[in-house]
Amino acid sequence: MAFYHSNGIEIAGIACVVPDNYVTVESFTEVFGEQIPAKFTAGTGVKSMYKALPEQTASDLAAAAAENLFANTAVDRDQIGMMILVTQSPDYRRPSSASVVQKRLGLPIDCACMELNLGCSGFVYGLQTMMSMLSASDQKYGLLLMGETASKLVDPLDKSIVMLYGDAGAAVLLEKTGTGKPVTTLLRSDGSRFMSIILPAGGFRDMNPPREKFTCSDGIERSLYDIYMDGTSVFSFSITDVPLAIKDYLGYTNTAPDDYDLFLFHQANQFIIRQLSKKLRLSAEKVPISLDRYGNTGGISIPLTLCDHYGEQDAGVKNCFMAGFGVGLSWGVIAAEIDTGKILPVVKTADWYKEGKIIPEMLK
Amino acid sequence: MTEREKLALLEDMLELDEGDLSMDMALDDVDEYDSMAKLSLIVLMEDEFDVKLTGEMIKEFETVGDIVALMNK
Repeated sequence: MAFYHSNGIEIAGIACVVPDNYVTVESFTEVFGEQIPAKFTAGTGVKSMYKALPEQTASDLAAAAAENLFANTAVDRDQIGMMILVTQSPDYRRPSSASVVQKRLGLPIDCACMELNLGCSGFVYGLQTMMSMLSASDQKYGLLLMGETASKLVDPLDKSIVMLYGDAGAAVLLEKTGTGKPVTTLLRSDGSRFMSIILPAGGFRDMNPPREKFTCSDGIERSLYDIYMDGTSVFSFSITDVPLAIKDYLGYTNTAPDDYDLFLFHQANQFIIRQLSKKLRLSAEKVPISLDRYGNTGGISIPLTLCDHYGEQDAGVKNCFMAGFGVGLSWGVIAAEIDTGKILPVVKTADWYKEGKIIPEMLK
Repeated sequence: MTEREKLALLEDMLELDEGDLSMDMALDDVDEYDSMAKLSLIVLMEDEFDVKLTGEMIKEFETVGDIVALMNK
């Protein structure tokens, strides 16, 4: 099994932002009538979400989260030795949005920057990648950024997911302290199920396919430009492969659910979180929920849940068990001690990078 | 477990009245059998019968009886 170990690296700050555009599930009664949104909330637990403004991109949300972190943490930008931006919604086909965010944040050229193309497992994969890079370097600080605007990729009439996805950004500061509890991570991936969640058009396999809609196996009309999710397969994965990974992790680390203060599950939907909690016999107070107000925000949902719950209160150090799972299919489990005093409250942002909107005049 | 008891489990899951379902009923004709119900079915089959349903298996179900046939208790 693919276990990773990190020593002497701690989380020194967490900040999350959401777009300043609050949308309730109830507001979709105008499109779908009363029954569908009510049933959707009853099933998924999602009551509202924040959707990116038309001009706002994932990198805007990640940059805003980083600015909030710098404004509230005693670290200087020049001290950041590496930055990873986790997103599946880049600004351009090239360069990576990490380059754009580096410029906007004023990070030094001695800061290695790159993008990681992952969704719901992105927080766990991102943390492990950053810890591995920090361990192998002479640098003290690493910045893990995340941004997602999946709401822009959903057909507005797709009742299965248009009320599910929320947008958000996150910034997590990692510090090489030489102290703190060792961290173990388990990462898994099953590419044989790559079609379970897919947006086929616009990549290089099929750059400009027709925009015609067709009826998918779930009876919903989509084009190749819309996110398709095989809901039942993804659900079955979430309540089978994910608990198995958790079981393997607990076995390998010789720990039990009682050894952890909090279980932060990717906020996929309430039904999945409930099943995972049931399988691990967790009490509700150990499993914080944020999807009711923010929807499914992909990989950001784990740090967002932390900011939502501990942004306004310092509850001391918590031993956090975290599991991210989704598109890929890709999943990972990590546990770390997090000082809740270093978690910032969620803030809203309407900012976007005007200089990033390239017009022909800028290239002449 | 009798066939009637198995049907009752499904009726309960779909919030239907007892006797609403029959073995030869086409799932397409059961309005309550929607995407959320399919998720509940995955949980029910695992909890009650230790059967792990995949998305592919669910797509192949045509009648209520196809589901009941997998209830091996």
